[in-house]
Parts: sequence; C-alpha cells; structure tokens
Amino acid sequence: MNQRLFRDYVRRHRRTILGATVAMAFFWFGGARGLATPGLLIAASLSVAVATGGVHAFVALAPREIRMLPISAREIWVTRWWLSTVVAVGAGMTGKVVGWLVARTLAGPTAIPETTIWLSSLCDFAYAGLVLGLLAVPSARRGDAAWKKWPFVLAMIAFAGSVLWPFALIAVLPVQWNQVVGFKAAVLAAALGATAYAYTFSPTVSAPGPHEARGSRRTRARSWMPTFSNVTGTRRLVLKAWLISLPLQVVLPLFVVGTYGLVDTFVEGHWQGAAYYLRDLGLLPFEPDAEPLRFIGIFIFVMVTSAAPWYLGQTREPEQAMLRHLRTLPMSGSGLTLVLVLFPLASWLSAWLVLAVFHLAVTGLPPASLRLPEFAAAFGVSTLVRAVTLRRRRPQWQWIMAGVLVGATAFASRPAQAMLTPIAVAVGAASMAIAVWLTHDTLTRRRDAYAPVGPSELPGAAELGR
Amino acid sequence: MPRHAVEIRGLRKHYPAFELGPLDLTVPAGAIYGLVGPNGSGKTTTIDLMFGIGQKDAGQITMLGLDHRRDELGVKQRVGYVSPELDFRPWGRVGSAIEFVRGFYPGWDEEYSRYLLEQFRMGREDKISVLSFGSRIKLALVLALSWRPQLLVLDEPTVGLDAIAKQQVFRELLAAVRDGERTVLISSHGISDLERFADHVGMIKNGRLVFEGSVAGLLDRYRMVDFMSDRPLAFKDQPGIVIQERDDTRWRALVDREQVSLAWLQAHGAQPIADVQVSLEEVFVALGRE
Repeated sequence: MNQRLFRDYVRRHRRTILGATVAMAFFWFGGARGLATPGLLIAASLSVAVATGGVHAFVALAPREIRMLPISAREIWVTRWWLSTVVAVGAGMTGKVVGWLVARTLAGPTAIPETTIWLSSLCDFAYAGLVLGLLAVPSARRGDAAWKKWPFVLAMIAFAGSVLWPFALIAVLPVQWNQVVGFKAAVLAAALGATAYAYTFSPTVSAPGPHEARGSRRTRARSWMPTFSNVTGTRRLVLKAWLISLPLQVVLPLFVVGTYGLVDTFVEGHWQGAAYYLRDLGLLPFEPDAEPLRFIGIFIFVMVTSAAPWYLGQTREPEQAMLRHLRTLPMSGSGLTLVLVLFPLASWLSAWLVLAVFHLAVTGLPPASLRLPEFAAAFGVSTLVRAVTLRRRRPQWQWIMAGVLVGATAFASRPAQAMLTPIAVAVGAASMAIAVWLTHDTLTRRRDAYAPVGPSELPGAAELGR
Repeated sequence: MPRHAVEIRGLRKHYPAFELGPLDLTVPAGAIYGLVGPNGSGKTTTIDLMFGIGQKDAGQITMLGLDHRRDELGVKQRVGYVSPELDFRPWGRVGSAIEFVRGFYPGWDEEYSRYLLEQFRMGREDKISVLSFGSRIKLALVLALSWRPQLLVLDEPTVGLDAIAKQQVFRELLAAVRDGERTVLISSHGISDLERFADHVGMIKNGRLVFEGSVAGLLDRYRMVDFMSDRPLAFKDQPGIVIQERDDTRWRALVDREQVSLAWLQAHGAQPIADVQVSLEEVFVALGRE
C-alpha cells in the first residue's frame, strides 16, 4: 500500500468517510429503536460500504493525475483495497456502534443485539471486497470474441448496481449469526475468498487497442432511433431528461424485482408474486396503507434514475456541464432559473406514471391515491438538492440533506397520516422557493458556478489540480 | 446600427486575488476586434461579465446599443458566444446539440449550419464525447455562426487548434462578417493570429486597458528603437519608453511615439542607431512584461 496516497485520499475524502459514519449512526440508532428491520439495516450498511468504499475509491483513484504518479499499478490497487474494505467498513462500523450505544443509553434494551453489528460489518467487508474484485475481471479479458466480452460486461453491470443489489436481496440476508449456515455460510465464505483474491490481484497495464476510425463509427449511427428533430430548444432539454430517465424507471424495478423474486424463490421454495416483491421494495406507493417512510426509497429511485445516466454516460450534473452555454442562450436569468428548477419535473412525472402502471398491472386496481402531497414534497426537495449542487458543486452533503428532509417529512407524518398533507406540501413549497432563489442567485452572482466540469473533475481531481 | 458594437465604461469587479478595472473598452461596429493580454489579465472575466456570468461591482456594459442586464434577452438574441469552456457532452451527439440550440433562434440558417459542419468535417451523428478538443470548439462555432449573430464574442477560440484548423476557423469567421454589418470580438493570447485577421485591438493587463485602437494605428504608434547612451537614469521609469535590452551603453526600447519622440531621446543624450517597425506580438510582449 502506498501510505502517501492512502493519507491523501483519507484527507481529501474525509467528509465522505465521516458521512458514512454519520449515516450508519442514524440508521442503527433508528434500527435499535425498532424503526427499521434488521434486514433493511444490513442492506443499507452493505450499500453504504460499497458506495463509500469500492465505488468511491475506484472513481477517486482513477484519474490520469494519479495514474501518472510514480506509483505502480499494484500499489494503487492495494491502496484502493484498503480504502474500499478496511476504511469504508471501519467507518460504517464506528457509526453502527455509536448509534446502537446511544439508543441503548437513551432507551434501554434495543430491538437488535450488538452481535448483529459484528455480523453486518463482516458482511460489509466481504461484499466490499467482492465488489472490488469485480474490477479484476476486465483485466482477465483476452481476445475480442463476443463471448469473451460477456464476463467483462456482467462484471461491470454487477459493479454499477452494487449499491442497489443489497436491497433486492433484503429478504435473504442473514441478520443473526445462527442464520449463517448452509448456503448463506457458503456465499459468505466465497465472498471473503473473493476479498482475499482481490488483495492479491495485480492489474496489468496494457496498451490501448486500436480504435475504430471516426468514419466507421458514423456509419454505425443509430438509424433505428427517432431523432425528434422537430423538438428544439428547452422542449428538447425536457425530452432529453425524460428519454434518459423513463427507460431506467421501467427496467430497473423489473430487474430488481426479478432478481429478488428469483433469489427468494430459490431460498423459500416458491414465487410469492410480483405484487409481494414490489410492495416489499416500496414500489407500490399508491396502495391505501403504503408506509410514508417508503417514500425515501421512492425519492432515491427517482433521483438515481434521472441522474445516473448523466453521471455514467456524460458528465456529473448536466446543469453544471451546460451552464455556461445555457447562460449565453437567449434566456433571461429568471427564465433560465425556471428552466433549471423545473426541467427534472419530466422525470418525476414519468416515475409517478410508471409506478401507477406497475400498480395497475400487479393489483388490477386503479391507484387509491396518487399521493400528490408526497409528490410535491419529494419533487420540491429534489429541486433544492439540484440547486445546492449547482451552487456548491459537491453532491455529497446535499444528498444527506435531501435524505434528512424527506425522511423527516415522512417520519413527522408517521403518527398521524392526516398530518402528512400539510407537512409534505409545506416542505415541497418551501424547498422549491429556496431552490428558485438559490438557483437565480447562483446564476447571476456566482461566476465560479460556470467553471468547466468534466472527467478531469472526478471526485478529488479538482484538489489535485490546485 | 449603433456606432459601437460594445461599449464598456468604468467596469469593475473585485476578487480576493484579482481586481478588474476600472475598464473602458470600445469595439466599433463591423470590426474584428482582438482583445489581448497575458494569462490572468481579465479578458475572460470581462467577457463573462458581458454575458451576466457573475455580477459586476460597478460600470456599464452596452452591446449593440442595449444594456447587457436590462435588455439581457435582446442582447442574447443578437450576440453569439464561443469558448472552449462550453461543454456540449450532455447532448451526446452533434445533431442533438444542434436541435437544442436552433430552437432558440428563429433566424437559424440550416443550410449554412450544414455547410459549416461539412467544412469542419463533422457529422450530426458524431459523438461529442469522442470529438477532439479542437472539434468541440468547431462545434461551438457552428452553433454560434449558424444563426448569423450581429456580434460574435469568442473567448480564446483558437486554444487547442492546430495551424490548419486555425486557418479554417478564421476563414469561416471572415466569411461570416464579410457583409461588414457584423462584429467579432476575439479574446486571445495568440497575437500572431490576431495580427493577420483583426483590424482593431485592445490590450488588457492586470485588469486595466493598456491600449486600444486600430491595428495599423498601433503599429504606427510604437517603434523599436536601438540607441547608445551612458545615462541610464534618464530613461528609467520614463512614460512611453519600455526598456527591452541593455548591453552596457547600448539600449533597445519600445517607444510610444505619442509620448516620446526621437528628438526627446536625442535631447536626453541618446544616439539613435536604428528605429524599426514592430509587430503586434512585440508590442504585446514588451508591454506585457513591463
């Protein structure tokens, strides 16, 4: 391990690491008070471990600036392994212990035993190492035959979805040590083996392959896809947001429910029906007795499905990347503010529509309620998250803020459902009002908001460049 | 059409490590105006403030006779902007970026847009993320030229372009302003390019305007003078004289003829050896280093 790189990463990403600790403290405090099931806690812990570990360390240590340092690829890899496993899991475990201890101190006996913390941390370690090991698969690729690319493709899909898989497998995750037997014990052992293998892995540095000429790429144009050439201007921006989020909003639940259902069928011996799995994942929010807390999941679902393709395919936030150009187009500052605040509405409306269609398809009944107050709250908070991201250019704590706002709204309305409507509408309206003010102020007064955003500004790269 | 395409008066902007202004700048209508200056001199800040990117502390900016804040929409309907900092990648393909932008301009000339794409060897199906840096600037130019703006503002448009691409870009720029009714404001530190294409030039240094005027006028105003003198203190800190080299009693200096004449030099003990015309680049380097 390269200690200088290690220390540098910890110093520059201390907020991310601390964020994982704080998030786990809150989760496990709530879990210890009986507000969340042990399965949900374990899944959330796994998710946070890979998000702050393997995925974050992979992105943060990927820039050319780091690869060009006089450090071997093996050293970078081992540093990444320590950060992805020991540091990320340690940060989460610290939060779990703190949250659990605070809950016990304040309210006596807890709903979950402390042994679950150790089990959860071991699972985190195994999962974080396994996910990191997926990155070794591309290096093992040899040749250009189509079938030889599949391990690479599958590994990358598994890696990209690693934050979400735990929630799809929530029903089969072990929550007590006595459940770690048979198949589950074998899976845990295999994951620990993969973690150990990941440590020993040595990435090969290969020369880039010959690229296709630009001309041949042109001839392979997407002729089968409509170009919507009659849709121009801001309408095209809305169309783009919608086209990007809608397919994912349809495919992701189907994929997650399918995976969940298959695993559950394998473990439990029978298929419990799509409605059961959708409901368990919180994707049937229009049922009369839907839990308000589930809307945190819906919020994350919409935000991920509307933002992830931008992140993966293009740049970080499209608003940030395009801001300079948008500002020079014939739109006033107020007009551009409204465009930026409202254009994600397309994603939110399509998400609501997709969920309503799922509801109709699996229950055979029209939605009991379209949950418009929750929609207003969630959309309002999402505009605030985007406005703050535009301002601060760092997405980490805005997400925590969003989680706190949406969670607090759902939680505050929990004892009395009747309170939900005024609270949700107030939160939504206030969030949107702040978002409008903040966006307008950023656009008209903050020149630093227009600085370029691109691959060179991967997390941490900005600090390297200064 | 107003006499001046851009008029900046008393522009000020304060940053912790930089102070712009007070800055006065005048771009005549129909001109190709080169805004030059060393890195960090305030060229991009000035252009950004013109487009409302950031807020000025004081001063007035008028573009095509319109106040840049009060008539923001009117200004942007007439003024095109090109910068290497523009990022079109979220649009995925060149064609998609074009479809987006053309919706904002009723005067979009589709045929001209196709022509420009062809000239720059780009296709509508090209993926923006795989375009070279130079090609991305060309795309920005296509998007800005295709609606034939009355004023085109280019912030360092030739950064990252090879010599052939630069020629191509300037050729299209010149073609676009051939009718004499359009104005181009180019900020650049590539003086040699501007020398060939710009008819007016202004130089900013440390946030202040050092000089401004027609290129011919400026080249006529400044001379590089070699002279002999054993009285060094006579020329030190003398306004209008920028000492370039000194070898014992032999001197080379850039002389601003509006402030210092050859007669003045001789009166102060200098014996002129040579008095030669300078290039814009020599003026830029001399004044930039001062």
